[in-house]
Amino acid sequence: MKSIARITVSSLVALTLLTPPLWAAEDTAGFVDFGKFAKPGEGRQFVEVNVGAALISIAARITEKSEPEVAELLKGLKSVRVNVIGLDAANRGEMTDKAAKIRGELESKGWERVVTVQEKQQDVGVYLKHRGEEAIEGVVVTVIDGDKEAVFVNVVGDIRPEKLAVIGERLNIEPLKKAAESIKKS
Amino acid sequence: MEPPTLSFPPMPLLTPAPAAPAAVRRRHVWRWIALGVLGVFMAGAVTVYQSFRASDETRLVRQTILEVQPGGWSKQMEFGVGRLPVAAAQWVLRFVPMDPAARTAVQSLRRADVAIYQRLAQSAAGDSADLALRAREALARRGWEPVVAVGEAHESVLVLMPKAASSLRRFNVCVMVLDEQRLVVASVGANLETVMASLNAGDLLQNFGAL
Repeated sequence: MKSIARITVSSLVALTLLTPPLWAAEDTAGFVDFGKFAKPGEGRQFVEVNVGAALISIAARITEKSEPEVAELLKGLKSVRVNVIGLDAANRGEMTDKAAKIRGELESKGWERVVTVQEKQQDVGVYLKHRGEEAIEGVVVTVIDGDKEAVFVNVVGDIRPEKLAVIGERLNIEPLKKAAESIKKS
Repeated sequence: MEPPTLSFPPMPLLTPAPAAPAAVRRRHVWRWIALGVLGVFMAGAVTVYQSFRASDETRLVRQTILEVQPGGWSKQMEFGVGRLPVAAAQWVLRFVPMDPAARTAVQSLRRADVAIYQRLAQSAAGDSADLALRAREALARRGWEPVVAVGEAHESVLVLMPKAASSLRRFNVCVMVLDEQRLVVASVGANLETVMASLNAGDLLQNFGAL
């Protein structure tokens, strides 16, 4: 009886340790909670994209044969989250404050600011969370684009900001492509 | 004078009961056969009914919307095909000449359902974003999370997938489109490995990303 219980417990522990895809991205260091966004008002649009580990691994499998380097890039990711909120006079202040608050929290938690641009009507911030010298655990991009929209991006996994465009292209996430272009321009 | 002799009737326990007539035995057998046939028929009827019902997630969205706006929606259509009818259709379609892409799509399907509800004129137009949020929260409690959510005040589109690990073999997706007039919910379960084997991988990823 004791040996059966021991085998059962050992199996459960092994199963937990050997199934990384089931670990929630929320538990990883590169994950950032942007909080809730107010529901869109009249004439304002919102877009939310939330691609988790399971879907990323499916995408990696699909591209494995035709584009192995892209598949390797995707395999390093745990989640891709994008929030786009249409701006108007009513919510511009709130979104600007939200972006500033998120940036402050990131800096206090040891995230490295790699890009900060505030020009014309664009406000772009890119932050990286490092793990050791070489690896990256997460990327956060915040963009306040004048009167148009606010964009918040969090990619959890080992990814350089310059590769975000590739991810956006391969997963066909338009807002992520736009955010990557903003980084390139800045 | 001889002593009286006592005779006792045979004790029932020690004497086997007389065998039932053959006609009675046949009636008992036929009764069991009839019950068995009825049971199989009932099980079949339930299976067929379950096979053509809308999926749990579709009915949950409908239930949530109706809770928020009771009496505000009418059902235009609600139809689903489960594993059994899909498997039957796949077997039949093997013998039907078809376009290869269409055949692949049919062979990869495991289940599908669609439901359309019309907003009644007398109900308030309401806030589609709020209704979509409620439906999203209800589905989240059942293990579905949004992959894509797009919307504005009066229109919302949600694409959801189960939180539990999906794979190419067990791919499930639910799409909800809500506007001022109509709610459309569609849910599909498919085996994408079948599709991958025959389609160009780049095309598949573009379609996948277009979600």
